[in-house]
Amino acid sequence: MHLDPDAEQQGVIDAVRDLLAHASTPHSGPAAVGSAGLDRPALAALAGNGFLDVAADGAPGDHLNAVLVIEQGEQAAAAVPIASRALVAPYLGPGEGWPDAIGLAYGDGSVVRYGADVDVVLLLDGASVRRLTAEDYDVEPIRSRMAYPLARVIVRPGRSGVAVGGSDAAARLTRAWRSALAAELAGAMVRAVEVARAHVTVRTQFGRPIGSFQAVAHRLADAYVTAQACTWLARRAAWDLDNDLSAAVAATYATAMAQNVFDSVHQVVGAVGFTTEFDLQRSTMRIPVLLAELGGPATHARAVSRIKWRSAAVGERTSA
Amino acid sequence: MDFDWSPEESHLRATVRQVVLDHAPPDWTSRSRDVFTPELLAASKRVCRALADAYVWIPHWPAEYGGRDASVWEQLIIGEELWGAGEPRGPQYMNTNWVAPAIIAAGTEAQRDRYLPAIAAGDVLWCQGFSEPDAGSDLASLRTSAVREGDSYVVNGQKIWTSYAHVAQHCFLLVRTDASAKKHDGISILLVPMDLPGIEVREVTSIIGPHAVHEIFFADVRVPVDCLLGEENGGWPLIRKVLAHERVGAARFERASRVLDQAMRSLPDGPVDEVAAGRAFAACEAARALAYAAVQDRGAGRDRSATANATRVGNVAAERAVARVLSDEAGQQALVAGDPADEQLTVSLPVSISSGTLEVQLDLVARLGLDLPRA
Ligand SMILES: Cc1cc2nc3c(=O)[nH]c(=O)nc-3n(C[C@H](O)[C@H](O)[C@H](O)COP(=O)(O)OP(=O)(O)OC[C@H]3O[C@@H](n4cnc5c(N)ncnc54)[C@H](O)[C@@H]3O)c2cc1C
Repeated sequence: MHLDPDAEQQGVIDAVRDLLAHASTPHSGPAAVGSAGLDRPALAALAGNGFLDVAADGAPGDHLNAVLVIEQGEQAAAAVPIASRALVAPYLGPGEGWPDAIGLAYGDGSVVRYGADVDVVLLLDGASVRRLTAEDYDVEPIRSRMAYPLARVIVRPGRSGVAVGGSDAAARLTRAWRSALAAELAGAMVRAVEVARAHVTVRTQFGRPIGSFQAVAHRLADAYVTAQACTWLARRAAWDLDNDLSAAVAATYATAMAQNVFDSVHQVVGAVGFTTEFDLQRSTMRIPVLLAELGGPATHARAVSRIKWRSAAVGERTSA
Repeated sequence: MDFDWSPEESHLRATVRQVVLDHAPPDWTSRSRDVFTPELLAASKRVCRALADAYVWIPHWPAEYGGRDASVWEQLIIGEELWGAGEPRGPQYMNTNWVAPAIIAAGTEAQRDRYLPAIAAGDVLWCQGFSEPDAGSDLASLRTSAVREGDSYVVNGQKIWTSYAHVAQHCFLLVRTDASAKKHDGISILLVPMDLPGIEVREVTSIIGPHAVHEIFFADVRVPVDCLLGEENGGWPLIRKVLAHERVGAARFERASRVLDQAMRSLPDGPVDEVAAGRAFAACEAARALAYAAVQDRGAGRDRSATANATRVGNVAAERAVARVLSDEAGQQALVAGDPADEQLTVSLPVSISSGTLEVQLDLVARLGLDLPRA
């Protein structure tokens, strides 16, 4: 056990942070209501520097590297679907020749992040995973106040794409997606807490910085603790991506706690936190999207219970 | 980052687990740690000696005092296995975790010779005389006084909430040696034999269980000056270090997780509320993740990190979530004393109070982790 990043891991963290600071299209204006979609230049920069392929070989440490890239993406609130391409797709089908922009769909007709912009959609359809390309589906962009561009993905009649990932594809996709969700929520929480922290340090009321009021400090401290725990659980799940339990635990904790963090950071920031020019909503308004994905919070928590205590049931494989 | 245990670490875990299986009473629970019967006390001493025989009692001590400078991770593993089993070392977990390290760090040669062998033998009990009726969270406002007279300190005052005082031979006592100095600057540590004349121990009966907490009264107790640990009036900085050890020490998440696991396995169809049970398990794992981050920081010598305090926050959430699931699943059976749900309720109650309250931990996270301004 050693939890400080080694030189390679630190290199990934620093390089991705740097790259996104320069390559990301600067954000302005409302969160996502009719906003620009996928940030292609940033995604191309990530791809060009190999950061979407850090887990292409499928070694355990490589999945962790992918999670580090995902964390940085969320900490920059970048408009790039990193997790699906850097972690999920290569885990499902190494060597499939994945395009840069991939969407993840939980059933036909579901809402998919960047759904109108991606090159390929991976559809979890019961026990199978289908790779859909543009001719296989229609997209209906969703009008939403969320900070990811969203679209419904509807499979065209008579089309079903190509099955990928072998006989345990659904389980593999679920594990990788859960780990990715936890990492994305962790990144969004870390950034939201940091934005709130910076604000309460300089905003004064009653003649003192509001961060010196305990009611403010404790709420933010609690959110910080949650964000840290979430980060570590996601990293551990990525380290051992074949483990159903670690992935379900990471997703369960992240999705059970994210709403508290959302509430707390907005509470301590006050009215300005709701405005489109303030930076907070670029992370917080991602949280509901992540919460609703892959069956939602209760699904992950129920999976933990079943893996732990009813392993024979419901097709959840236990490796705990 | 690397989340795997080395073969040596796994072996250590297996060794400790085997000692527990072989030597701890099968019905030992967290409540037993308060050794409220002679049988429990004897059992705890047997476990300590068995750990010593297996070389897993004091491995983190320096080699010259009988340890082998084991890593913080090895300490964590031992803590997980023992706390997870309800801490069958009884009160002596404190001895190895922080009393002895404090004596090694600040004691004289004579003090090390006097105290360490008995601790290493697993045969002596200590208690922690910090809190007072008017000094809880604001520990530095403590008033128990020690006045130098010849080759003694004369101690007067009262401690409260002291665990293990009914069985302890020694008290790691905080006293005020300079009433005129600023409150943090007039505090000293005395290593006090509990059989000195003028010391009286009374149990404070509580809903937690028998002998959970006590009062200690000191009336003109003459403590030899060679019982002073460290410098006179230099106790506070040392205590802060000691408390840091204590905070990482208790692997509460591991015990909570095992209690949850056992309770859920005893339900023929699994938990009724699968979502709550899954979340409680995840809360235990979150506290574990925080604890590991704290161990990493401690191993790397990052003293001003918030991770130990964050771990305490995580442990409170984990213990409470497990308590809630157990009572919800047990229904009215949870009202019966000794039911696992009842035990978990009483174990989870003081978690947010003892060893520094939840609010104190959050204050520290705000300061150390977020760099928020002080009030
Ligand atoms: C089971 C148990 C075993 C114990 N064992 C020992 C032992 O062996 N030795 C020992 O010395 N002590 C022991 N203690 C005492 C423990 O350390 C104290 O209870 C603890 O430090 C809190 O002090 P207090 O109970 O006086 O609460 P108080 O300090 O009076 O606090 C009451 C409430 O006020 C809050 N509060 C206080 N100050 C602030 C502040 N500045 N900001 C915000 N909130 C604040 C607290 O967080 C808490 O919620 C034990 C306690 C328990 C419950």
